[in-house]
Amino acid sequence: MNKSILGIRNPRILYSTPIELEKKNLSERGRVVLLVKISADSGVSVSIGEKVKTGRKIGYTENRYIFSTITGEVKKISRIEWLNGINYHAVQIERTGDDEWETVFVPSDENPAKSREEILTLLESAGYPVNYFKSERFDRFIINCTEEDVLTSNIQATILEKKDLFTEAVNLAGKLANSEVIVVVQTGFENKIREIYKGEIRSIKPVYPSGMNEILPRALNLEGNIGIIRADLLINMLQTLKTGLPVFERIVTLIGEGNKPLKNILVRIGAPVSEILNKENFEVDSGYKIILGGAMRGRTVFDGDFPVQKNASGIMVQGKKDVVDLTPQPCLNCGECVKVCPQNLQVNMLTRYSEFSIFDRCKELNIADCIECGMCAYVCTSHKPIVQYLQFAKKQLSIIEASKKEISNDK
Amino acid sequence: MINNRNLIMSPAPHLHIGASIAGLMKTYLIALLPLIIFAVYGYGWHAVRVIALSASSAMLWELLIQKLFRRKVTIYDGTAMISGIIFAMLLPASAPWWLVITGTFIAMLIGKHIFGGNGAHPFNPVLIAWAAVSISWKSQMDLGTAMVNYDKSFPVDFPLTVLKKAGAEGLGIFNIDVQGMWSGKLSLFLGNQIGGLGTTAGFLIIIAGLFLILRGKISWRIPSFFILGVFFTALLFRIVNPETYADPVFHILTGSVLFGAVFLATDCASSPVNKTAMALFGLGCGIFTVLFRAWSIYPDAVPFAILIMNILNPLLDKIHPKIPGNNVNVIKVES
Repeated sequence: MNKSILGIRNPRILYSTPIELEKKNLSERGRVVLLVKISADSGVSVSIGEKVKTGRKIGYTENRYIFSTITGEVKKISRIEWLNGINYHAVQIERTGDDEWETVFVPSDENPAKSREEILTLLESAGYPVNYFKSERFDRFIINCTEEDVLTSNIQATILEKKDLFTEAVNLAGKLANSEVIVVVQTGFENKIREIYKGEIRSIKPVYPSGMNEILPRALNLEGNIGIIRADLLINMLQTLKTGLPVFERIVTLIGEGNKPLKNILVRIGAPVSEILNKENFEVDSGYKIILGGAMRGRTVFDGDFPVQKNASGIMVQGKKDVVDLTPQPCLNCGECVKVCPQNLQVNMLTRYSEFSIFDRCKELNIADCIECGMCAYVCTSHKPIVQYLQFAKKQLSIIEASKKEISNDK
Repeated sequence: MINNRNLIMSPAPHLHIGASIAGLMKTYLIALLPLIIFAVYGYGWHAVRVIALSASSAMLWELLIQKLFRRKVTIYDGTAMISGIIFAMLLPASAPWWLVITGTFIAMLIGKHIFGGNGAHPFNPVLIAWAAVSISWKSQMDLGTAMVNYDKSFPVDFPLTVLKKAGAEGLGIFNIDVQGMWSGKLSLFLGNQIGGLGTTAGFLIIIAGLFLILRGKISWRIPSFFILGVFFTALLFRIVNPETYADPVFHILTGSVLFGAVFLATDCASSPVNKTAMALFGLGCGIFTVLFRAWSIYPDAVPFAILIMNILNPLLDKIHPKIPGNNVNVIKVES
């Protein structure tokens, strides 16, 4: 990565520039596994053996609908546990033939001058998160065209792929948010975006993690209530409004051994990772790492059957040589983590407090402001899994808070 | 072919910059190398004896202590070796073998492993050892008398002992009169003075410090503010009484001010990590150095000054920057 020989400048990682998009339909045959989060208000509305079309409602959780992303037959409904301990119904659908479409609502391309409320209702019925648009008042609204993670370039590839929709999508965002819209890109991408969009564009240095939703408004010196949305989600919303179909496919970046981005590919949401990798002729052996997402924030999977999620940015395979050695040694207090933290947190102290379960101190040191960008663990001299320690402390604090609430409710 | 079995699970991030404790210690070793060569050039086999004995005995003590405490053995990462070398740099070339071995034992046991080993020590272990041996065996550690039998092209008196005994007027033997002549100071800067093995050659220490700063291993703040602290405090004394107190540049060039600023005060575990705190830490070290030199019985008290500031380190680190962006309320629309 971008590591200077001299160490005066802080270590930094740059975002990728877009790479080639391969338009091969990967799920000509095959299956998808769709996850329905199990909660107090959730359910699966299909049964085994049922034939479903692409776009068919198969379940719901907390007022959000989940739709089938291929046309086929429901083979299996099971329960799986995802990595963070959340349980899901896994609905496995096997493709039987070409896509047949089942729209959520009848699209009305002829009548674009719909009111804001109507658009929000339509989007909600197609499973999009629109409650923020309903409840919040924005001073500014940012369309974030930077990448979610390093090594991935799926967001920019999506924008380039859906060039003709971009301006319309920005207008849609303005209408939904009811405020001024700013398009933010990383330096180097401005020229390409200027060809397709004529409004206000701001650029940021392509240094991770400055493009993260949490801190991007600060990088632009904005104040007040700032809404922010990734460009890919916005384009999906527009497409749904135009076609009446829920989102069923996504562009993700394939990253191969040697941490090398290979290409962007179009995959069906819910396609198992192992199937995608098989079709791309990947070699994965024991001792390898399969990562859903990018290099800094992706999650490893223990089973290739895990499906691609609808916010996935990439699929990454690390060979034995690429796997980072995480044998933690004692913290030297060298201060590298404090130097790189974008939130100015006292990472050295937070890690120790978390390690020794002193969670109230973590709270005093504002652990809630951690955005889990991973820069601290990236530079750690002692190879400590710092992000994991911080996540652990956050989780424990939330459990403590919840139990406190329960006690006060009992009284 | 996808083999689904035995995949590696790990938390994010999945990249690493490649830094390690062993790498850090290698950089320190490279920085110390010119000083070692200069010491060997100046004192020959005497220097080789002290440095080699100190480094090897420190590693051996660490091995023994870790075996005894049933801890993971970490002598491979080089921290014990670097501690040993830095300790040797503070000793006179005439230091007897038992003094070196006792010193490294104190450094490893009382300085480091009693507190939990690497990174857990509140004081710089080398300084604990230095303080213990220099209080216990004054005559062997007294730089003013330890080296009188050496034949050198420069005066074999420790400049700071001369200053202590005769005041600024007595510095004539180093070509420094009360007005402060530059030729004598240049000679001191080039290492023509009595001192610890590695603490005399100012120009080499500055090069080593710049190397460490450019490699990003130490912050520029602690060494710079250390030297600034020495300069301004010494200047105050000088203005009040130029006959007794030497000028600031003399203070910086003699004893272990430069060595302490680069190698001792910047010890990771016992120095702060925040910018303001680092500046205050360095400044405090500098101020205490001159105060001790002026008013204590020790001619060169850099290690004591740093030890005092080590105590204040956790307090200083409470001064940390605020979390930015309090005036922004970010509402993320995410699926």
